[in-house]
Amino acid sequence: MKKSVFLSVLIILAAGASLHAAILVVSTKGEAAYLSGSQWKPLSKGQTIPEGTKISTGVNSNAVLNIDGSMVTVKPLTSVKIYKNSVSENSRETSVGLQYGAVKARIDKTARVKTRFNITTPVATSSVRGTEEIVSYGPSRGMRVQVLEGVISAFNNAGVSNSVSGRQSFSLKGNESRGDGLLNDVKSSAIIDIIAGAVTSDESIFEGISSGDTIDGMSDFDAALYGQTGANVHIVIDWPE
Amino acid sequence: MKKYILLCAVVFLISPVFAQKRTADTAVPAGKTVDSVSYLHDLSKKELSSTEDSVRLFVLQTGRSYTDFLSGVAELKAAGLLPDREYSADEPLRKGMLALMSARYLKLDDSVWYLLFGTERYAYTACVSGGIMRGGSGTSETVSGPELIEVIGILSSRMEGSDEN
Repeated sequence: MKKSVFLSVLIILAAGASLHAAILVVSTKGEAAYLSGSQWKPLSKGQTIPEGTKISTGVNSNAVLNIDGSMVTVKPLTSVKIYKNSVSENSRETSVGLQYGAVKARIDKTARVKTRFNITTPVATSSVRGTEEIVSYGPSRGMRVQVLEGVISAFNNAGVSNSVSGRQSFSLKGNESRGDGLLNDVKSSAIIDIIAGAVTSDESIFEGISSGDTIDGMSDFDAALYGQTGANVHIVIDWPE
Repeated sequence: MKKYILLCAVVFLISPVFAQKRTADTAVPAGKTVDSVSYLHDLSKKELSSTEDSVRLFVLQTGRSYTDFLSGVAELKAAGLLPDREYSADEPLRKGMLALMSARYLKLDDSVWYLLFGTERYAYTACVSGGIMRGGSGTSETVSGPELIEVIGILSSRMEGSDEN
């Protein structure tokens, strides 16, 4: 009897320890591929791909992924890696590394399930707490986050508050400072988590899994992570209510 | 006891199979290619992009198929994206040329000087003010692979109306 119970517990633990949400390819347009070993292979509608897969799109191409109910559109000329995707009874966590290009994320929010959806670029992490946003990254414009829904009040560096609406965007380049203390009053309900200081755990992970496979300006990336910055960043952001 | 230990070891080894469905890697279906994805991945690591890189991407961006450099140049000249002169495939791409192609592709019309003179210099200032390219450098500066990819991506978003300055 004891041996049966022991065996049953072991089986349950083994199965539960590896529970990952499914990543389903909803649709593709043009050239959308995933990296299998050292070879690029085309993504197909209905295909299920595992965590850790790198996905890229070509010119005039895109791929729409369903990550446990959240819809992620990989826009043209984009390379992403879904490096964390786990789900349990009361929580879901997904982390997407954006190497270059842009993704649009529409997050499925279920009241009883704690959802954490991060999009990490070499310069910052966007923690999606609202519903829909577009995140892009390139060497010239840096990271840009466009919030597609919501109206909020934001405070600038001078302490002046403003109500903003419509599609606004937040930009952060590699050589700009992170907003330590910026928008504290709205940070808790923000769609964007502005991380003060140096490297966040997600960015550290992204750097590690990239294995140097990041784009132009790696020296700028290092400088942004470890160097001293002091530029003021003026931001106008929409937050969902 | 040994049987149970062996059984537990088997359970732990095979548990990932049940945890997540994996689809088998498929061969490339007929009509589906991934050439441009592989090419872009290589381009993203290049410190210097070439004239051929820009010709290839602009030909693809206009919805055409890219066969070779000379054909691509001819197509872009016919489309009005390239001035009528000789081009060298291996020549490093300069920001002025990229700006001119971008301005012509998007038909930028909010820069008076560019509309009047249509030169690389004013195309570059128009692209900078339009948020397509980064300022602070000259038209003769070279373009890296990631920068070229970024610009083409911005052009693509502008054409579909999803990018705002």
